[in-house]
Amino acid sequence: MNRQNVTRLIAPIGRSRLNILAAIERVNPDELIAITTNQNYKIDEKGIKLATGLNDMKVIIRSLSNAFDVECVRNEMMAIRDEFLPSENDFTLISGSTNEISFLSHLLWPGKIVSIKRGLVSSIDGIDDEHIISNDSVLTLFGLQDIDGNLHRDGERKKLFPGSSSYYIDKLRGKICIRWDLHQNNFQSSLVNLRNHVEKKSELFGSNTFHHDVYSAKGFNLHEKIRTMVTIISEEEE
Amino acid sequence: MKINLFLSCRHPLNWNSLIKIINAHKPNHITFCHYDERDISELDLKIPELIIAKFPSIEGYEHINMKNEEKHSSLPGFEHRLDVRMGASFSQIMIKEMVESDCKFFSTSYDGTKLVRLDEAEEYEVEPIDQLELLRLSGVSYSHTPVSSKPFNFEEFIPKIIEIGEQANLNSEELKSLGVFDTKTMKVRLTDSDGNILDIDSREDHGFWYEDIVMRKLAINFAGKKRVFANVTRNQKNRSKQIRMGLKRVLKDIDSQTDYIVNELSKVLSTEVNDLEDSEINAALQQVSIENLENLLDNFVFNHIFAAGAKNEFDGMLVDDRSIETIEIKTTSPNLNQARKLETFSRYHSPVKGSRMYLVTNFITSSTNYDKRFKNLRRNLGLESIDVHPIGFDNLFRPNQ
Repeated sequence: MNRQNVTRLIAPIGRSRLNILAAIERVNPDELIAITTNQNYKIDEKGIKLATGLNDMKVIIRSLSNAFDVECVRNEMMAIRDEFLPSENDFTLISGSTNEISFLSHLLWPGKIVSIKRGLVSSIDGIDDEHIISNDSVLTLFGLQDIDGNLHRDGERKKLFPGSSSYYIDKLRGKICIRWDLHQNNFQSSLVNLRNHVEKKSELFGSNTFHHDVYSAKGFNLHEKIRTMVTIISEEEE
Repeated sequence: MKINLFLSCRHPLNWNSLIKIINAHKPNHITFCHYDERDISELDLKIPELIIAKFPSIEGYEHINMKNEEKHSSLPGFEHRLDVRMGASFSQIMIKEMVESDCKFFSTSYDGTKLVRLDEAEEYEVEPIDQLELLRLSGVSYSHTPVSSKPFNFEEFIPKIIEIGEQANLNSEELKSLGVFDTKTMKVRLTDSDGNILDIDSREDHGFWYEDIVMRKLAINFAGKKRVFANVTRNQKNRSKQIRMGLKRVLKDIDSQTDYIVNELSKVLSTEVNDLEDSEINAALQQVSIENLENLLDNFVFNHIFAAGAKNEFDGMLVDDRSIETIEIKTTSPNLNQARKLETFSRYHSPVKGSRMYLVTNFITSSTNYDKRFKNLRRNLGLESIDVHPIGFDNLFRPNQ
């Protein structure tokens, strides 16, 4: 294939990974340059190909050594740009990683901008497109697996959200929804787990990745930082 | 050349990040760029006077809503900068398009000590802003007591006043026999052979004595490197509310108050304060003038009440130019919830997150059961990625001292 005709997607990959699947589906690139960081949960070529089903897509992964060292991010991004110079058919995802990495991707590969809006809607040149991603693709990309209806990290016996009841993938909102059933017997312990894991896992996997539906007969307070990630559904006590 | 700084932002503004960015650029004008469904003119977007006073270079600022295609003021002769530390990538790219070619792109490092140019290989060291001032400017009210870093010869007293088993425990009688006892504070003033003094709480059944010796030891260990503060409380926004809350809490917990405090409160409230029912406490609170309480009580009792009414507290913090480390001191078996509390405080309540957290206990690390006792805690801290470091008595004091 003539290099001029190669459609390339430059995609920063942060903690939230549904964006990348939507961007790949939208652009259908011949080549993907995925820019991740050593602070992120590991991602590999096999995982991306499995999740997207695009076996012919050339996948190049570069990992920045420290996402929180801005100078280091800039220098390493510039080195990646020198390795893969900008070309005519570049698309750049701008909603995938930290502000610095996303903004630098746009500065260094000033191709068409791909942004992903709420509900897994991709936008290029103001034209929106909705995406529906399969459950398996989502879990594969996050390195998660389903064991008896609960989420686990690959190879781990402990549930990703201890104390939760089940999960489902809300494809419309582009989120993994975790269900919690709080009743008299488990109220305190589940609440402690909820309070502890909601923000921690959002830091690991991205703040827009999970949403928590909590069914409870008793009311309770949550810190404002996690309140938007949780919907409390009042139930009558039996 | 004067600087106009563009920032992508959303109400409510994150003052902590904003202060670090302003400190790095020292701009003369700021253009806050929103992308908001709301009518931003109805939001409280005023920069607090405290911040304006701290950065006199700021001559003006404006808020524009890019959602409504509002444009920034033309500022001829200004250097235009965009800092991408805060805000959203899509709106930063909108700002870039709006300002066109005449803009330099920067990011302020997370700790505020470096300003990095993104479109050129340039970076600048920034004189960091004092961490406690950052707290104050961010609008968070804290109280804390500076701990003296003057030397103290612990070895002259520790073997006499501390009994070592699996835990280090205070021998109160011995302590009282070696110093001067203050009935008001319940502390004993020890004076070492060099004339250095240390006040230690004499109550065996509270952990206050351990807080007194640990915080002083830490202040000595970190002298010249970190400032050490004890009795850190995050205050309520409303001072009267905090005093009222503190008085209520103290009255509810009257059994653990000293005789001095009980007597003072009885005098001021003109009633016997032992064993008050909830309704009687509420009635007492109605009758007393909260605003005047500070004048009616002596400083020691008032400060005790004020601290009791705080939103939350921890035992100490170590502060340097770049970080605040938080400390919790325990003389009971530490459990996961205490470690969680320490982390939760750092995570949610401190705008400057504690970079490290220490759980200091009076357990002896070389005792036979120490590893077993802390095994579960360490495992659970690891499982929950809680960066809290347990420290034992003998990590700070040699038991034979």
